Amino acid sequence: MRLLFIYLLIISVPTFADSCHTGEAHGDHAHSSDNHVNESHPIVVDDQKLRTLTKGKQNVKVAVVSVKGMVCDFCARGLEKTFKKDSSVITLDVDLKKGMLLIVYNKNKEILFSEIKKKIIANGQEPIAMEIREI
Amino acid sequence: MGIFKLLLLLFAFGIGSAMARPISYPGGGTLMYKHNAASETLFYHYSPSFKYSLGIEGVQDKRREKNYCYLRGTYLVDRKNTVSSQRNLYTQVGLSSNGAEEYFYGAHGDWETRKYFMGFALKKTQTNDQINDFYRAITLGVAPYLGDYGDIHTWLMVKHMRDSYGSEWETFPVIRLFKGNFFFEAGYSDYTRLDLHVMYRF
Repeated sequence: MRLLFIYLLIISVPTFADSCHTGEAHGDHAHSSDNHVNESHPIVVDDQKLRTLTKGKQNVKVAVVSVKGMVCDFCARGLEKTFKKDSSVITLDVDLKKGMLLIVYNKNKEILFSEIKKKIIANGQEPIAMEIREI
Repeated sequence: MGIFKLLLLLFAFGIGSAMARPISYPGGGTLMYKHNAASETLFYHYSPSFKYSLGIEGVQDKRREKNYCYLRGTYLVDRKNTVSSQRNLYTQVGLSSNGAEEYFYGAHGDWETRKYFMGFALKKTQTNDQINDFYRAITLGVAPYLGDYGDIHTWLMVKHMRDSYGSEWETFPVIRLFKGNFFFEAGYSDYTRLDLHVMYRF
């Protein structure tokens, strides 16, 4: 019975955490501008991290993607390995604090949320919003 | 059917949900070394997708004084992602090189935020020499600081466990460290002695 109690606790905590979290988007396909997919979910970019990531790079675009489930360094490693297989990706970084994935592409690359979403879902996480920054 | 067998079936066939780190990213491989008073094991697994992994584990069984291998499979029954947490439930099965009468099955799950961790593990091992084991463990952890991506991450944990060889539940401290693809976990108690877990992801 002790194990059953622990299991019930484990499955109930995330639901509680979800209900406490404001600003989480419910839906990931609202295209209301060219650069921001799902405007109901705010993308809060760490400008310092963005500057460090793009330092010395010109003619690049950064896809800043909000990802659910990216809570630990070890689980974000898979995303890094997956995106680095894409030759159009110059570099990337993970903002664990804000749950953001920052992917630096060549400026000529057409960045599609659907393409990014597919890769993230294949890794077991869930993208909810994206914003594109031109550098 | 005993209560633990019933619980295992409930966990295995998806009442609720959960997960852990026994499956890598798609196309990824993992090498794990574990050491405790009962056994020493070296396990390699490959993950075709984030839903399952297949691997082989070499076991030096100290209690039975035998060496053998397991062909192992792990399946992610359910995962719940939120902005601030992730929860997982896995089932696992292993078939021994000692014959069809020797195998194990079990379930484990976890829930974690950047700050807190809760996990459980159940593993029933069947052998052909009447020494069967039922391992149960619960782990709770807290991160003393929140590291950034690429930093050394630290968890201070407490493990509460029991197996069929022990007469009572053991509770002992565990430290977990990881950086990049390297993972290290160590705990100590009078019963398990050094409980060591080292992992590297390719």
